[in-house]
Amino acid sequence: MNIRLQTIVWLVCLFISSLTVMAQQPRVRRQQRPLPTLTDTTRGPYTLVVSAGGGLSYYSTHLGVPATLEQTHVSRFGVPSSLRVMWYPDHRLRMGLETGWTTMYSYKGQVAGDNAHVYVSAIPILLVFSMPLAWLRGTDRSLVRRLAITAGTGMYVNHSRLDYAGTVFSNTNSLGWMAAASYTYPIGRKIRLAGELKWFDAVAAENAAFTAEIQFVWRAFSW
Amino acid sequence: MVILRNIVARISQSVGLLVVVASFALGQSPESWPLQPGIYFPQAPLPGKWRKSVGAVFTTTPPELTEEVRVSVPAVDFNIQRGLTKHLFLASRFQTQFVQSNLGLGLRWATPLTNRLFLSAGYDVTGWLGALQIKDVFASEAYGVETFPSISMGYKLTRDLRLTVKSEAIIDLYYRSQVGNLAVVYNRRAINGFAFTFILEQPFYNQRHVSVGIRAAYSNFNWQLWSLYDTFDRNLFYPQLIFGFIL
Amino acid sequence: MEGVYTVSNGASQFGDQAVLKWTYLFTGTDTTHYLSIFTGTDATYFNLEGTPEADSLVLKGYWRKLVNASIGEVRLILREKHNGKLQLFKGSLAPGDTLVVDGLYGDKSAALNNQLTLTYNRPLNPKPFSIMAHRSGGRTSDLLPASENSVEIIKLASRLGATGIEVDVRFTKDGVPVLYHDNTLNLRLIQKNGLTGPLEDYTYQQLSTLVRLINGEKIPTLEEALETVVNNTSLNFVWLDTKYIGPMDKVQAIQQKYRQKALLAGRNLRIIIGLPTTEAVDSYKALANKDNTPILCELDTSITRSLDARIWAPRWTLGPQTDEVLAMQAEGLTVFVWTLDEPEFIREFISQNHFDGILSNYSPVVAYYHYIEQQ
Repeated sequence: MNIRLQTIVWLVCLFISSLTVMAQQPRVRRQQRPLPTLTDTTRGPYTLVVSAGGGLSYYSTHLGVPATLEQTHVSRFGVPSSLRVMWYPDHRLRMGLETGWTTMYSYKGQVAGDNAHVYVSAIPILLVFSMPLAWLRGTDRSLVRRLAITAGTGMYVNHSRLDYAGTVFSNTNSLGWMAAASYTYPIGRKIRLAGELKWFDAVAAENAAFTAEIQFVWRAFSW
Repeated sequence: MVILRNIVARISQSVGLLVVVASFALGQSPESWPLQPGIYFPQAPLPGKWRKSVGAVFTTTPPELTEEVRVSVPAVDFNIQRGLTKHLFLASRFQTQFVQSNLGLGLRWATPLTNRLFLSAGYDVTGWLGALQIKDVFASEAYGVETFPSISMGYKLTRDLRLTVKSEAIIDLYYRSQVGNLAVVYNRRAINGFAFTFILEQPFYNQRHVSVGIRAAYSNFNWQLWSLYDTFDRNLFYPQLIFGFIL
Repeated sequence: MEGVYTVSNGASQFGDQAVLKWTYLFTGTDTTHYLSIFTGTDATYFNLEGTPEADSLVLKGYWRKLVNASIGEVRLILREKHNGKLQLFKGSLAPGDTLVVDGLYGDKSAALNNQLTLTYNRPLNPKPFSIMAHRSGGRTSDLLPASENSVEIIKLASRLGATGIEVDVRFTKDGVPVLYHDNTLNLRLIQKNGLTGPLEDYTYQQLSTLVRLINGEKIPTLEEALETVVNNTSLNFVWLDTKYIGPMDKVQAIQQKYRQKALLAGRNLRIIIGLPTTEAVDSYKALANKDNTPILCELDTSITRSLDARIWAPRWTLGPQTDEVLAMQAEGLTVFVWTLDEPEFIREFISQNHFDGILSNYSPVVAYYHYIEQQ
């Protein structure tokens, strides 16, 4: 599965980069927005953008099941949700905060006839930076202006729930990072729909998940 | 299986990188590039001109040293540079966490290779100093000198976005540590490790430009963690997040 | 055979001096003899077992540098230099003869093809000194063959040079005192199993069934740890570091139980309760009966005196504090310093000759500098 995931990640990179080529080339037949001047003295609009969504996650690193368990069953899939608040200034780079909730994995088994079940999930609290692939060229109709890459770093609150000889809910914080690629489709003046492929990595807890999400993007207000 | 996986991953990475670079190269028509502020991009300031930035560096502590306490330690980060000739410039950097600080001074030689690709070689010497006086815990101080020969490659990805990749060797020249009235000194010249920095420089809001990137250092010693008295003779990984406003 | 030896062949790898010291591990009525070698470079220790082969004593085992991952096998033979000629050791030395331990060592998985020659130079420094191993023997991050705070590393501690150990005591949710250092279950210390949060959230049954330390051991109870110290080792000191907040009476009861067991076994074993915080001091003060409950105070000298502690243990990062140390010793207290790992500072602290012991993750380094010290 690791091969497949790595291959998918790099295919996505290839796809993005080929689109980037298109993005950088002059589009003579399309109506172009005037180029922003890098040293313009008047600023463009700033926008606060809120996105929320959910999808499917796959736990994509090694997991440990205690050797004392018998008849074990492992699940790597989950249903993640995300909430992101971004500031879109008048240039390419965007910055914001992301949180949400992601299932990491769960397993169950038996110890001397007793059932044991462990469920692991994480809440990311991340500072994120994002950039559309094209900025100075193209329009909102252009595919590459709708494609963006996002990276973030911060903390993950790793939760575990144990059901064996009682129930224990507990959590540990872990530093980590995130990387994502998204495609955003405008469906209204202030509303967009986005698809995002994302890699979560809570480094200290060694929890990593690959997620695919659909997100509603709301351009909350501009000033 | 592992070998196959590595081969697939290597090929994918290599092809991916080639295509990314080629795509940016092909995608740009020859045109003049606007002058942009930058600190990391290997292009000398005009002779007599200054460049400055202020920001923060967040260093993630390695588990070997801080064990379960994995934190990202912020440091205030100032950079100032001055052009000497068309190719040569002075670069100084000051990082501080108030109880410990680091001042660097270096010389860089930079040249364009094409209208988009730039190269520089640099040599920096830094001095660091830390002091902790905490009742029942610390009566300690330390200082040292390190040097960093470096090479940077810069590439103008688009008109507004510039990527710099910098590789550095980290060489220890001097280290002195004191607890109470007892001191130890190491003054052997030793290669301490190496670091790679990836920085994007671009406009952020209005006319304000920023440097954003990461530095991955693999080193035997990190001045910010002097008070943990690292005893390992092996390189540890210190990832850093760099964010700076170019003034 | 114990002593300070001069290293000739092998000095570039291990330095020019080495300390040879025998240790013992008891299993029931059996005793296993180990020869440890401590050298002055890179916190190196040798773990050797002696086996008689033909008419010679062969010492086989491994060497390891704690500061990095260097490791290799070693095979040495005991010889004597008689009238300038090297011959197999016959069991006793004539006047003028010198013991020589020589043989071959390897590097990582490589064959044994490097010469090592150790020639007896002088006896070990006889001054009493406590060499205390942190976390029951050493840190997991030093890639030791046993996990920190495990029964297995307690058995290894003497071979690492320790004469005593410090153990970290916490309570499970159902009140069982166990050995564990960190505030949370984390992958520095345990094998991956998904469980997070404080150890105190879990019952002993949950921990013992589902949690394994990084090298596969169970988290030991305090009683299992002390049982090992009393029955299997020749360690003479156990420092119970108070990592919990709350009543101390269970730990006190266990400390007194194993003090009695040690006395019955004819062992000179001190088990003391360490007080690192004001909360621990409060727990100690709350004990109904403080008889036969020796304590060690890590706080300042005035608190140490007010508690009538017999041991004061300041942090090494406060420096040698020579005046305070001498004053406390003049009042009959023992003074240790913790947790000192930096080899050059270990050398300086020992050469200053004031402290009665050092707590360290690098007991091989402390042992080396202590035993080579010349009075």
